[in-house]
Order: sequence, then structure tokens, then C-alpha cells
Amino acid sequence: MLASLAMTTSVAADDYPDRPIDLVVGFGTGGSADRMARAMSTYIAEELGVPVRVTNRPGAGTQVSANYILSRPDDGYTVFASTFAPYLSNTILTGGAQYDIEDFSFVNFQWFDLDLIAANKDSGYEDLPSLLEAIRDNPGQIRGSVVQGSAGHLMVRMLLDEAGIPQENLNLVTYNSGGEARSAVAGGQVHFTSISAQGSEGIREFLTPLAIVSDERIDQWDVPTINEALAPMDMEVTVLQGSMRGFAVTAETERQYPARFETLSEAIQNALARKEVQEHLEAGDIGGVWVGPERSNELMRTNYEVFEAYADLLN
Amino acid sequence: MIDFVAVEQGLALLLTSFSPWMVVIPGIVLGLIFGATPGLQISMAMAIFLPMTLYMDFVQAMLFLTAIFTGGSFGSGIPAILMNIPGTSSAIATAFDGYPMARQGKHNQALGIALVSSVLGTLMGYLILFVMIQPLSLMVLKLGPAEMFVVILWGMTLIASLKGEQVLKGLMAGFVGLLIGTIGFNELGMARGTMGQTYLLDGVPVIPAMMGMFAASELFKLANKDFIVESKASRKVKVSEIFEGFKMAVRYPWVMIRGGLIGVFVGAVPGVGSSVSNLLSYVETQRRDEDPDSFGKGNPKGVVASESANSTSEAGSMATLLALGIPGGGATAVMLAAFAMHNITGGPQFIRQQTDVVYAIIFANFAQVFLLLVIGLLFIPLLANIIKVPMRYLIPSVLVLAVMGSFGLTGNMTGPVTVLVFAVVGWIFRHYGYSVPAAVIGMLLGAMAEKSLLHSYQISGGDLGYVLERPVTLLILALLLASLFGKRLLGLFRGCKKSAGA
Repeated sequence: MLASLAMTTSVAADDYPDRPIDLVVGFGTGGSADRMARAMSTYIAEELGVPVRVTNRPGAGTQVSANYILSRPDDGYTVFASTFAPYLSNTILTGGAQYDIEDFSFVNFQWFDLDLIAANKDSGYEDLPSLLEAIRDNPGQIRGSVVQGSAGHLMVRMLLDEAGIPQENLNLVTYNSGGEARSAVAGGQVHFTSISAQGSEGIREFLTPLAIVSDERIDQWDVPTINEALAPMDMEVTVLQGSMRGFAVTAETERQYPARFETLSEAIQNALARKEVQEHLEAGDIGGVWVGPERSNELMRTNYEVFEAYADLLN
Repeated sequence: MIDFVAVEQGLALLLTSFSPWMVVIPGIVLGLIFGATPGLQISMAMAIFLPMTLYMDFVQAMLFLTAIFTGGSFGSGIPAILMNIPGTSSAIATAFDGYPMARQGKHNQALGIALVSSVLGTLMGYLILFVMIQPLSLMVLKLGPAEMFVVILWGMTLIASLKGEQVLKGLMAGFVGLLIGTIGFNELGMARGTMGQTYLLDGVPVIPAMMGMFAASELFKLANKDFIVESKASRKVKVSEIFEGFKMAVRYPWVMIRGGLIGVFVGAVPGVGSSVSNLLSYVETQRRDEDPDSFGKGNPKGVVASESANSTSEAGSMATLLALGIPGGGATAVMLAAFAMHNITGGPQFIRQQTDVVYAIIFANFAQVFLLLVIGLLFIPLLANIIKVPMRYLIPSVLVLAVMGSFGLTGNMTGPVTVLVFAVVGWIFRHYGYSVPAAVIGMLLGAMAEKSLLHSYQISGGDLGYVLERPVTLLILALLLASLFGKRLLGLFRGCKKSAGA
């Protein structure tokens, strides 16, 4: 803090921002990250007093957009909006990206998705321990569906690892779309799924929810948290965040222009503090919490480390 | 099956005020424009105009979006017929016979056939939806990866009949397409064939590649001609001939019904949808015909088969969306966002509690069909004038459209580069007599087939016995074999009988 104050004196005469800001989305139009970016752009523009342009640079699981952000001048006029966890971690671990998590500085994560572990209603599994026991006792008989490379995918692998069950005991089907993974469990193609809770309401009737991957219970799903569900087995797992969406700039931007970084994060914080902004986000089912740069960077690092530790299990 | 109280309420929702209907005509026109412009997609139109639905009530928003859907499914057939450019992957089979018809100066008839097939297809699809939305969605859920694989395999048998000059060349073209289709991340998260290019990680974008292969290579071929249609007399736009096309389409009710059934069931399956259904319908129509060799040379049945299937797919994908809240493709994914905006979650509960709303959407589509017929009739003469444009103006403008559209599609230079690369590839293929459609189908279905095969492997843990647990897989497989070798087997059987009797 003191160091950054000392540094700001040298750039105190900076009147950032004095021209439009580019908000680059890592996905195509219409997706969650895009909706978040577009909803926020108006308000960030109001706070900063300059227009905010939203452009989409989809491709390669956000690697295309991340490379683009890094190729732009580090001056605070290009801001990255994306679903950073798990996508950014995966581009580095499996997508062969040339950058590192440390090359980005996260301003704020405002939207967190929780994962749900649920069995097909007719599968007969009523709780998580009995499902895990079934996988242990019947190698090659139990089937699950996940989205390839997602936190839900990693969670399943971690659960088996923690319970000392050989990974090959489970027939895990890896889909590239949540819709297909959900169809598979709803239709009884597989016994269970581990997937984002948001978007699973439509197939609620076909499911017996087993656990929510969170530190606290939530209202939408009447189900124990993952570690509550595992308590009878004397087991505990790292609570892995589902998806984390928010805003970032290059680490170099924060290093060279700490004052600008401060201005930008204040703008986002002030926007999220406004009542009409919260109402607008709520209407679109978009998350809008303020956790701040420090906590966001910490969350991202943790997420990356967990993914790195289990990277070999993800295919 | 049908809840008559809800039927009344649904009708009341639609007929008590005029406001829900205000958006239908603009929606159909938007769909037509986006469908008919190479490189613009129906889902794009929906995404762009989605914010407008915030100011509508839910029924009105759904009328607007399904109107775009309905208009778009006919619209994408127009460039397929007039220029051999399928606007979307759901119109590939439309080009097979539609474009040869246009070259023969029968573009009016071909467009008339496409319009009637689209209209009747959409009608049929929503009728089926009205009667059995719940069972249809439950049936879709019962389809696993093994069934999907067999269905996609069925579509791939089309490659063999698109052989062009020689069977071997056709198969080779299909094989090249399959290989191109495997580029990029697969469902295991492994990247293949990218040569270190980040832009190839998502694979070769199919629609830009398709536009390059079909359109650009076609235009290169025609570059030394003055017009698409040689004789001046044939270049006229005649409404009487469009009506002639109407009659032609109605002449093949079975082709249409088969296309419709294939469209509804295949269209309801997430991730497969209309791009496979039009091919399946075409391949079955061709195979059952007395004169299979007449296909690809301007047989009107080909257009009927393709257009009826891709229009019915709309209803199929709506079934999955309404009854399960699961989007099957780009267009329904945008609709799902509209659901969220109105705090509605698709699913069995939604269908039970808001049956009137579901019925209102279905009934409105019955009415949309007739509006499509009228608007389509007004549009066709306008669009058919494309063939009066001299080649030296047409080629650059279509290429510019394709390149711009593909930029919008991928959001970066990958799209335009793909169009240009595949234009050259397509031209080379044509020049040496390799079948372009076979390669495109290989590209499109190859990735899908691989995906479903991989999932089948994962779900069974590599145990081949899994197939024996899946009666539907075995049934589809038996049907496939019968349709491939049925005639031959029957012939053998009869031959044996004859020789035994002699």
C-alpha cells in the first residue's frame, strides 16, 4: 500500500482515462461472460466518464483473447472480461498457451458458479457416500457425465483420489457442452453428473441432488455441502470454485500504472455498489459481488494450483 | 396428451390482443434476410435483437424469436438454390438438386418447392409438438451416444452416393473431409493437427469452410461465363413458375412426411439437429427412388427432402428447449437467454404449469407458417433477381459477403482466412473431379461421429457388450443395413427362388 502510494506521485498528473476503453470478452456473443461484460460496460463507462466498447474475441477456450490482451499496450485502456476459472487455467495447462497466470492482474471476480453433484432419480443413489461406495465395489459399472476440463470434472477426479478409489473404476463421459452432459444424466444414460448448478433447474425433476460444492448451503438446491455429505466417510476435499467470471488487466499495467489500476477497480467497485446496477444484474441472473483485486488474485492462484496438481487426471 | 382447457387459454393469450402479433412479420423478414445472406446465421439475428425482447412479455418474445427461426430456415435455402451457397449447414442438401435446377433455368420452380416444403415442414413439426411434446422430449433423453453414432453413420453413407466421377475419388474426398474434421480439441481435451496455431484449436470453422468450398469454388468455375443461367429467356422471374413449384412439391407427400419425421426426431437431439436431418432425409429419399442417379442433377424431390427436414427440425429443437430447458444448438441457446430474462426455466414443470403459454407458442407458429408463405412469395421475386446480375459484379460481391459474414461468425480473422483457403481447396477438388459435397459432409459429420464414438467408449468403459444392452442402437443399425443392402439381399433371395423354381 505504502509502496504504491510512493509510486503514484510520479504519475500523479495522469488524467486516465481520457479516451474510450476497450472491454475484450473471451467468448462469443450471448454467453455468460458476454452478458456480464455488456451489462457492466454501461455502468463502468458512467463511473469513468469515457465510453466503454465491448468486443468479442472468442476461440481456443479464451486463449485467443488472452493473447490479444497481452499484445496490447499495458496502459489500462484494454480490459479483459472472461470466465477466468477454469478456462484461463486450462489454456495454460492443456492448451499450450505461452503465458502464465502471473501475467494477468485480476481486478475483481463478480460472478461465481457453484457445482452440483446429482444422481439420476431412478439410479437409486440417495447420498454421495453410497455412490462412491458403488464406484469402489463395481468397477466399470457406474457412469458419470461432466464437461471436459471443468471444475465439476476435476471434482469427480479429486473425490475418487481422496477416497482411494482407482480412477478407472468409473466410466466418466466428458462432454464439451453442459446441455449434452445434462441430457445424459436426465435420460439415465449415466448414473450421475457433476456440473454447474445454474442451468440445471430445467432437469431438476430427473435428479436426486447429492451435494453442492460450496462452503455453505444455498437456497436453490436443498442439499448438503460437499464436505457435509462426505462427513460419514471421514473425508474432506478442497472446495473448488465452479466458474469465476470478472475483469482483469495485464500484470504489467498494474506495475507501470498503479494509479490507473486503482481508478479502474474503484470504478467497478462503485458501479457494483449502486442499487440500480444490482437490480439490472439480478434481472439477467448475473452475479455482482465485489471481492477486490487482492482476493481475486488469491482465488485465481488457488484455482490454478489445484488444477495444476490434478492436471494429469483430466483426460 | 392434449389439455383442452389450456388450449383455450393459449388461444386467448394470442387472440385477445393484437400486440403479440406485431413482432411476427418483422421477425420473419429478419430471419429471411439473415438466412439468405451467406455467412449470416439465424442465431446471430436472434442474438442481435435479443435485447429488444426485454421490452416484450414472454409470449411476445417467443413469437418474435420463433418467427426469426421460421424465416431463417427457409431463407438459408435461397442462396443454396441460386448460387450453390448453403447459408447454413442445414441447407447443404438443398443445394444438391436446387442449384442444378437453377442452372437449368428452373430457379423459380426450385424456390417455390423450397417455400412450400418449408411451410408444410414447419406446420408438420409444430403439429407433432402440439400432440406429443412430453413424449418427444423423453424419447430424446433415451438416446445415448451409441444411438447417436449409428444415426450419424447413416448420414455419412451419403458420401458414397455423392461420388462425382468415380467412387474412389468420392471416398477419398470424404476421407479428406473426415481428417479436416478432426482438427482441434476433441472431447477429451486433446488438441490435434493444429501445427501450433492457436486459431486452429477450435478446429476448422465448418460454415466458413463450407462457404469457401461450395461458393467460392463455384464462382471461380463460372468466372468466364456472363451469367449463372445461360439463356436469357430462362433468366426471367415468373410468379406462375413459382406456383408450378408449389404443385411440384405437393406431388411428393411421402418424401415430405419422411423428411418431416426425420427432422423432428433428429432435430430434437441436442448437438445434432438440422445439419444432420437434411442430409439423412436426402439420403433416404435418394436411396428409395427408382432412379437414384437422377439426384444431384436437378431432381425436385431432393429439394423437398432437404427443406422439409430442416424446417421440421425447428420444432424438434423447440421441444428439447421447452420440455427440458436444454438448448440443442445456437438458435435455441439464444432463446434460453430470453427465458432467463423473463425468469422462466424450461422443463417438465414449466410445461405442466404453463401449458397455455406452450400452446400459445405452438399455435402462433401455425399462423406464422401462413405469413411465411405470403412474405416468402413477396421475397422470392426480389431475391431471384440475383441470377440477372452479371457474373463480373456477382462474384466480387458474393465473395465480400462471404468474407464479412465469416468474420462475424468467428469474431476474428480465422473465418475470412478459412473461406479463402477452402475456396482454393474447393477449386482444386473440382478441377480434378473430386466431390466437394462429399468432403464437406465428411468435415461436418466426421467430428460428430468421432465425438459420439468416443462417448460410447467412455460410457461403456470400452466394453463392446454395451451395444447389446441398447436395443435402439441395434434397431437403427438393422435399418441402416437394410436400407444399404436391402435391395441387393431381396434380389439375391428372389434369384435363389427363381433358380430353385427353374
